[in-house]
Amino acid sequence: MTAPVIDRPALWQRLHTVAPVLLETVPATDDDPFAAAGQLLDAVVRSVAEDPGNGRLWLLLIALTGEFPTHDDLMDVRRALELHQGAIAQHVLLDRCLAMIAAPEDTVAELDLITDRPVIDVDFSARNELMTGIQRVVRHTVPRWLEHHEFVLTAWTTSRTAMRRLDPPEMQRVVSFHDRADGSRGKQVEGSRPHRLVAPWHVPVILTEVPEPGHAERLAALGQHSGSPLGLIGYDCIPVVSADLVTQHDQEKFIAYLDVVKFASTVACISEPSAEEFAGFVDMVHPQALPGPRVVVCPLPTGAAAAPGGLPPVAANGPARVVCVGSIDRRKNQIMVLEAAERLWREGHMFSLHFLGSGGLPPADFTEWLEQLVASGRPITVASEVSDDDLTRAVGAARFTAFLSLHEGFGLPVAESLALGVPVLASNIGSVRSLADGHGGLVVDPNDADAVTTQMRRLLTDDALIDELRTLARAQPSRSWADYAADLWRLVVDGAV
Amino acid sequence: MGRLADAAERQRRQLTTSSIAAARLRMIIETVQPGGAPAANGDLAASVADLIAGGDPAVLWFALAVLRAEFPDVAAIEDAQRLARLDGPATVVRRELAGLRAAAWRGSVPRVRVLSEAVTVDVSHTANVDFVSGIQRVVGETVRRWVAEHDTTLVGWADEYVAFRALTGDEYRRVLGTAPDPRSMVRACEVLIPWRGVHVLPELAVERERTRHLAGLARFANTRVTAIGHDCIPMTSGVTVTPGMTSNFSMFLAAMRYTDRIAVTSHASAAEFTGWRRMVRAVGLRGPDLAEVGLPVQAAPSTAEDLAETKQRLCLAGAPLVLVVGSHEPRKNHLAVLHACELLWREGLRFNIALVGSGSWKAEPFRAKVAEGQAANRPLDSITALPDEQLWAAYRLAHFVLFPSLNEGFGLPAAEALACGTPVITSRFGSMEQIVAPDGNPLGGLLVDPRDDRSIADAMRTLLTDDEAYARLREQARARDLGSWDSYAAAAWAYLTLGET
Repeated sequence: MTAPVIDRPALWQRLHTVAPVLLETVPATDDDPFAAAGQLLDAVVRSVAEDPGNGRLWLLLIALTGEFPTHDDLMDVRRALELHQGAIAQHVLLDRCLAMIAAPEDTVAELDLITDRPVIDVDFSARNELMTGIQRVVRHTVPRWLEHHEFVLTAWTTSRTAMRRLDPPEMQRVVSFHDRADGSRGKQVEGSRPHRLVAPWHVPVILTEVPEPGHAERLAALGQHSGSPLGLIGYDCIPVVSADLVTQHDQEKFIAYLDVVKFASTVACISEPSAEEFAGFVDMVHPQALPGPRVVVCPLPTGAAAAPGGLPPVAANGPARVVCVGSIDRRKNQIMVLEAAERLWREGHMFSLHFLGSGGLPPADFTEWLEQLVASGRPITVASEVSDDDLTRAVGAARFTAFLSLHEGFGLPVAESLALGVPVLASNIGSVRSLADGHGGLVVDPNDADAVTTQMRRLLTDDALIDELRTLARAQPSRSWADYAADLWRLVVDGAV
Repeated sequence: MGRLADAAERQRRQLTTSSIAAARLRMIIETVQPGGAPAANGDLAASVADLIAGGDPAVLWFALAVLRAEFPDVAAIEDAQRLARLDGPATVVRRELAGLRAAAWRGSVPRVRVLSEAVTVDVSHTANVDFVSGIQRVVGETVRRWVAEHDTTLVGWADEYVAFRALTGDEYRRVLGTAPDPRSMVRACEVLIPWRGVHVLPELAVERERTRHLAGLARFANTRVTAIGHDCIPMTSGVTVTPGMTSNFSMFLAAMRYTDRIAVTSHASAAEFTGWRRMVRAVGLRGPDLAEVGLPVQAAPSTAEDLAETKQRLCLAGAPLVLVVGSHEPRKNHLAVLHACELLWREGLRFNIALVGSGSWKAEPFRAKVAEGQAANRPLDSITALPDEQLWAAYRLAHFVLFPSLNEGFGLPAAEALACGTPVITSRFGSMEQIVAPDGNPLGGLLVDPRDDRSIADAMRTLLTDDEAYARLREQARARDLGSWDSYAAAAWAYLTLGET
């Protein structure tokens, strides 16, 4: 035998933490934590063996292992406790716990039990600098919640086996992303280990992101067994509806996530079409006699208040600028923008084309063609690392933006362009259509190259049309991030209780 | 001497290459415009370019498929459409011919044959596996009847799932159980390109290259694609399937978006596919029509010899046999079954249990529990391979069949038990409930909550101890009619090829 796998003082701390909610009366124990751990263990195991339901066994396993159990772990232990009593039950339980521990280093972590406020999981946004649509939502919403509510923010341990508190740099990444001192940016700090673990006890748990497959199974078990209602933000179901537009990793990650959705209590979707997608999935699990989550709509911000930097649009001088915001990949369909632009350049129209956005998997045919066009002198630029301010300036200076995505949960670039009063050439699909149509956008079938070219020609040549669209964009009702954050809290936190 | 031979070889290759190109171009023209005006100046390439210029994506799909001897996928069609718009259709034809000539020059290009207005049935997986799962049984029983009664071409996929080909003799035998009529056999090395046909997919297609090419066919070709929809378990119970299956199933669903019709096998699979289609429609696509064509089950007869042999193998004197059929994967809920058995053995009930099914993903905990039970002398047997005749005999010898699965598109073992007149304990939801209680009242079985081991144990106790209840269930089971393969095959054919319900 090497070092003991379960560290006794941490075990004592965790048992001591969970005992008050698992026992009617906590027995008096010795001062020596080693002896006290044994005494508490005995009392707690006896009590949970009698009634393992309503999250009691789930919580006991966290106290014993320092890890969130999977469904299989829980069922295995539950069955073992049914077949054994007394000291043998305790022995069998510890034996099972030793076998299920995935990351022995986490067993020395101490535990905070959260019983009086929601737990908000922001794992990816806390640990990464990336700023895609989901992180944008998280980093706009959580700071606004902080102004009105008390809650605990969590990420997952390095081994992806338990929820834990954030360390200070992670906290800054979530609540003050843009106001951090430059020195703290870009660091992937893991903080001191072990982190303090967090176990929610019958309080709402809100998942703000799509989790990595590594801990999805433990989140699903939380939804199914912990007694804490699990609320989600529903972004989209692209990987199962339009699988051909995403990577194999994203397909696998999303189906692992669907198992979490299955056992959630509420999904607050970012648009009506996204809610339709999640409602369709809920229909699909009914044959398993599972209710599935309540699906509600909580639309993301639109109108002037959605403008990222709040800067006024810059008056455009010189040739028209067409701006295309978003990571470059097949789903965003930038190749269609490129085709329409090339056809219009060949017709003799004068304008420049600007792609802004990071991430994504640029398709080879797009990249190759783009290089050819640039080499032949077409006025095209591509910028990948763009700050919010630069983005706002670029969009503000555009005659119009183009967003021909084939599938979106919402379409933030459309909302942000219109918020700045800049017309959009947009897809006639799902949420993108509803954002753009009648609100300062022209919608078009993103697969119809002739239609795209025709509408783009109109936007380049018809000044009256541009004025009309600008007016419509400015007139659209405004929904702010504060509105979004307040509604979301009401729907997934208040609604969960 | 060597140089002369080289020159002669080059000339021979050039002739072959141009004649292959000409033949393929002619094939396109004659199919798309039969009896049309002959090509201007005999310029076949220009005629094909004119056909493409019409803008019909089905013509473009067909032309690319013939020239490449490979079904174009969605990206290939979009790319060719873009090239046609920007540089003209003649450029597309020129590019394809250059590709064809290069391939022909290098040596082998497959022969191409057009299947005009044919019904093709894709059995590529069933034709190449030796095991028989629920899906393979459905495919075998159904396709055998279709082939006997209709003009049907069974197909597999060539090479890396790039295009259809005819089945080999071995593949025919595996699917149909009989040798094919030699006159109906086409050479398996020929690539088959459908034109204005109906293509039926009766099995699950999860190979990524296959679904990629199937998606192009379903979306752009003028052949209607239809399918039997067995279930969406890789999506609705993703944690229970093998790694990699979830993403491959997503690609299958992506291809299914563009099919015309899917015949679903039960209320449960109807709910799954209808829910999926709701998701698809949220993005503005229409998705396929759906109709429920319920699966039948017919028991195969057992001989006295089968019964005797199987009894010898599975039964213990004086103890009723509890039979569990299903692969050893978590979804089948075998750990709950073993726990329920342990609870009952501790109560002193006498029975022995045989778990019949192939090993599968995540079977280790199951195997460990079986070993644990056997070490404790529990009458417990796990059988990984049982011939069909013995399986049918086992259904008849069993006191009851236990099938508390967590999710099924159909739930074959529950239905097969009833078809043999044997009572069944199964899950009180989804297709399993539909099998036992088609009109709402259970007939021939008991329904349990498979997520509650005690519920399973309670039902088992009833069937082991309550003789009166047991006799009633057995009588009900004997009276059950679970439909016939003849009527299923006819209904499925009518819907999938003609759209008739």
